[in-house]
This record gives sequence, C-alpha cells and structure tokens, in this order.
Amino acid sequence: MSYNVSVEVFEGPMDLLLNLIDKNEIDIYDIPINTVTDQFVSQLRKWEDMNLEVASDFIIMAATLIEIKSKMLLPKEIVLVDGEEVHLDPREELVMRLIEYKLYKDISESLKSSEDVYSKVYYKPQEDVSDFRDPFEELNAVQLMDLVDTLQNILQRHRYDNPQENFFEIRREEVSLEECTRDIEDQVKINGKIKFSDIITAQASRSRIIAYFLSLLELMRTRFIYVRQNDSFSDLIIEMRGI
Amino acid sequence: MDKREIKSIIEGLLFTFGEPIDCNEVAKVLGIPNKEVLSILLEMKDEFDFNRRGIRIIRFNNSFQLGTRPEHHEWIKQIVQGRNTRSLSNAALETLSIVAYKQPVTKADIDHIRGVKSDRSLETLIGRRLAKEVGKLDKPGKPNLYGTTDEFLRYFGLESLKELPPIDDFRIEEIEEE
Repeated sequence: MSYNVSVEVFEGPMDLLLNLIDKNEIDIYDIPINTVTDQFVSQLRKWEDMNLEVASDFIIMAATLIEIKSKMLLPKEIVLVDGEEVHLDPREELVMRLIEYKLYKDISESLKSSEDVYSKVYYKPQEDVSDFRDPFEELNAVQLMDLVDTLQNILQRHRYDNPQENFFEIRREEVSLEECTRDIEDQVKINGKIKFSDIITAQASRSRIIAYFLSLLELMRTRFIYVRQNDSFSDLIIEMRGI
Repeated sequence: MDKREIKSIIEGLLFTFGEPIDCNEVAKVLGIPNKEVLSILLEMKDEFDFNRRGIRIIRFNNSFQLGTRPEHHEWIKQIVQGRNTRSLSNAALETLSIVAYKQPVTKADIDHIRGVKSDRSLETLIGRRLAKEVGKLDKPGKPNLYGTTDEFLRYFGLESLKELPPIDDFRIEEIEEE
C-alpha cells in the first residue's frame, strides 16, 4: 500500500494569498476580503490538522486580513487630497504589497528560465602553470650585499650586539580566527590552489596551527573552498570552490 | 603585430586563463590600448558566433571567458557525468530578483516585499557568490546593503545589469493579462 501525499508549497503568506486570488479569479484591485480571509484562515487550520507547524508570518497575515475585514465594516475614512475628498480603502496597502510581490515573483520565474539555459554552459578551470615556473627565479636578482644587509637586519632585530637587552618578555601569542580565515582566503584567491603546509610556517605555534585548521573547517562549511588529501597524513590541498 | 596574430594570442590567453579575464588585463599583457583590445574581443565574439564554433566567448561587464554553447548540453552531458547543478530554490530566486532590481537593498526591504524572513536564501546567494554586501545604509543600526555580483551576470547569461529586462516589462504583462 502506498500513500500519496500532496502538499502545495507556498513561499510565504503573500504567495498563499496570490494563489487564493488566482484560484478564485479575483480582480486584485477589488479583493472580496470576506471570502479571502475565510479561505486563508481555513488553509491555516488545514495545516494545523495535518500537524504542520504554521509559521508566524502566516499568522501575522491572517491578523492583517481580519483587521482589514473589520475596518471594511466601518464607514470609510475620508481624507482631503489636493482639496478633494478621497475615500480611503483599507485594502489599499495590502493590494500594493501584493502587486509588488507578484512583480518580483514574475521576475524570479524569468530568472529561472535563464538559469535553465545558462546552467548548461561548461567552463574550463584555470590552467595550473605552477609547474612551469622557475623556482629560483626570485633569487636571480639577489646580490651578495643584499644577504649581508639582511643578516645585519636580523642580528639587529634580535639585539645580539647588545647583551644588556638580551632579555625578553614572553607573551602569550594571540591568534584570531578572523585573521587566519582572511589569510587563507587571500592566499587561495591569489594562488587558486595552496597546500596547508604553505600557510603554516615552521615557527608557527601549536595554537596558530589549530587556529588555521579551524579557519579551514569554517571556510569549507561556507563553501568557499574545498580540501582534499591524497593519502593519510599527507598534505592538505586547498582549492577555491568553483560554482 | 597584425590583428590576426593578436586575436590568436588572445584566444590562447582566454583558454589558459579559463576563468573570466578582465579586458584591462589582456591589454596589459599585449601592451595595446584597452579600447583596441575591447573592440578586438567583441569582434572575436561575433566571429565565434558567426562561424558556429563550439566554444563561445562570453562577456559580462568588462570580463571575457570561454564557454560551451548551452544548446550543446545534450551531447556534452554524456561525457561529463555527475556534474553538480543544483538550481536555485524558488525562495532564493525571489530574493535574488529583489536584490537585482532594487540594489542596493537591505534585508528588511526584501523581507517586507516577500512577507517572510529571507536570511536563509540570502545566505545561499552569498555562498554561491551571486549576491554580496555592497555597503551599509546610513540609518540607525547601519544595516547591510546587498547587490549582485559578476557571477550573477555569468549565471544568468547577462553582459551587464543593463541587460536585465526593464522592470516595466513585467508590469505591462500584468495589465495585458487582465
């Protein structure tokens, strides 16, 4: 034995309301508020009977409909616009909202058909040219004096020339996840494909490595990157996620 | 360098780069003025179409990319299995329509038009890089403003936002229906 369950899906209260208007072939500018309110509320009841939780948005709309219904019973409010008397229709605001919603719903259907066409296009991923680069290219321009200068800089920074200052305060390293996430994002954006070991320098503290790893998980979750590993314990390869 | 050679180089660049490449970038590589490169690229695009090549040059904003023709999907899909083409949900498409036509727009505006919370769909759209934050509204709470991306143009086969059908086209349709 099989069950056939069919439940109409509505994107929200506006969608349901439009559906009722279509079904009853109603002029959107002259909605019979009684009929529509009754049908709207009975739809919500039906969902409740099916043990479906009715979202609060639908209940707000039901309340709005009932409010309009009660206002319709009162004498129409009259305001002066440019010296002329105009009868305020309590339905007006709702009608405007419905028309606007319908507009975007129609647009979304036209986008849907473009999507159907253009999802059938195939693109080629970027060529990996890293194999063709000379790994020593960067070193070609380095002169002996550059090395000497660099060494001096390092020595100065570590103050080996002044033993008196050879004392350091050991601070707890603060590693922020945001910083690591941004770092990975930037590197992936620039290089397209990176290894986890590229990010982690040899001096990186344990907490920094953990922070990077957490950032990696976060970026996988937000579908910015995907990560693969060819063998157990081998390097993680991080790639920017194509759409 | 004659034009034929330039076109030939550009084709190679587009092939190797794969991803959308900015016209300025091509101009820099070739050492030719931007304007010239743009007109050559547009000419190439027409030639590819005219000769019914299986590869098309796709343009959006100032970027160009090689891609297949959608009408060849039927054949191509037979050799590339398991491609993940999740199409967007109706909720996401509704949200995206509002973002596209009302940008820059706040989430509150989107929620108001749709009559439901749009957090989830907005998240999906940002995750798929079809929409992004484009700034903050100078009002209390500084709400984020959202707009569409270049990826949005590519996804829907548009060259620029100007190619979106004017919003009044949809309004006219409504009047005709009545």
